[in-house]
Amino acid sequence: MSGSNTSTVQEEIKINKYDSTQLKHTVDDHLRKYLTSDVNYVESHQHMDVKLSLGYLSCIFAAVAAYYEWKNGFQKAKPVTLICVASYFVLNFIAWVYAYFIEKQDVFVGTKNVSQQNHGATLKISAGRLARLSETYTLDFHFTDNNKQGDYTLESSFGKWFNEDGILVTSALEADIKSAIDRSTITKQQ
Amino acid sequence: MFEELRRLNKRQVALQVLNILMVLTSALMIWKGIALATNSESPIVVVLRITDIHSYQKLSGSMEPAFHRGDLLLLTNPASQPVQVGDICVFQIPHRDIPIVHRVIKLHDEAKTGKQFLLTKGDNNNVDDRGLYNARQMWINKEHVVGRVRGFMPYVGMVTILMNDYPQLKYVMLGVLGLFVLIHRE
Repeated sequence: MSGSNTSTVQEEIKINKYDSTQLKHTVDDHLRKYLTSDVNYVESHQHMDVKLSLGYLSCIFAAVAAYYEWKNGFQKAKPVTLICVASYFVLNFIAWVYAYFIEKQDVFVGTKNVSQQNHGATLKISAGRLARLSETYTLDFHFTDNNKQGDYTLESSFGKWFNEDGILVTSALEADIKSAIDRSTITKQQ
Repeated sequence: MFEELRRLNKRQVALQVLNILMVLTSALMIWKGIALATNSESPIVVVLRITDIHSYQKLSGSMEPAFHRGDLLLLTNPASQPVQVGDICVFQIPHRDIPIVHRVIKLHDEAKTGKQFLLTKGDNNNVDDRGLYNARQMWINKEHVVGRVRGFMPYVGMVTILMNDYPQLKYVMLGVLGLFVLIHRE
């Protein structure tokens, strides 16, 4: 991650302002970048890692099935092929279940070590909702720290963060994120 | 178009590559799944060529008016079901590259082992297939049979024919598809 002082020159992020998927991805990516470098959260890569390992493992099964059948001929390879095909679909099903039930719409999950307590505080930003054809992006901030927790929902139009040329105005986005975090942690004792 | 790709971190790039692999492997696994279900190595075949019987091409005009170039054939090959006279089979003679699709006209079962000896002939041919078999081979057996034709769809196989006649088309299509999946992060 690059250093994040506003005084250093950052590459401008320019995207197609009419493409809502790109808008969402850009906001999400910058959110992650800001939280890990400026606010010093440690991002949890669990969702991504689970998806990647299940996915690549299923591809390995596919490769094994193809290679074994190529070497041994269809009839002899049938039991191996059956196991590989079954495993492939089972793994993909598990990955889908994970994404649907556990990951849901999480955008960012991170922990931060707060000096007063020994435990880490967890910030989870999820439900990155974007209605079809709408420019309003909704993010739920959920902060937990031991037994305290706070929630704040940030709802804003993309127009507040991107200028006319489709360039992300990082100061505006970061200010909104910062205020959202502050409001969701407001129940925390000082 | 590529700027977004450059901005991705390692995990996100890995995810994009995985998406491409998933497209390819899911197609492969579905194909293998169908092959297992029908017990046929190649459950869907396309009629590729129409030439005369002496060139050993995969399907000559020898099966007209039933099958034509570009037809898609669906095969099954259940191990328990014996071949019957009148079945149209796709079979491959050992040491010959190209499978043949013809009808079984004669059948001998060896009483003790139940082993089947088949004689085939194309509907539109004047002679049976003994000219196509190997030297001195008078019959074929069930292990030469890839599958029995269970159904067919006309014209659908034209895409495969195009891919065969213009192999560059295959790579172009695959390349475009891969690029598309890589660039769009949906």
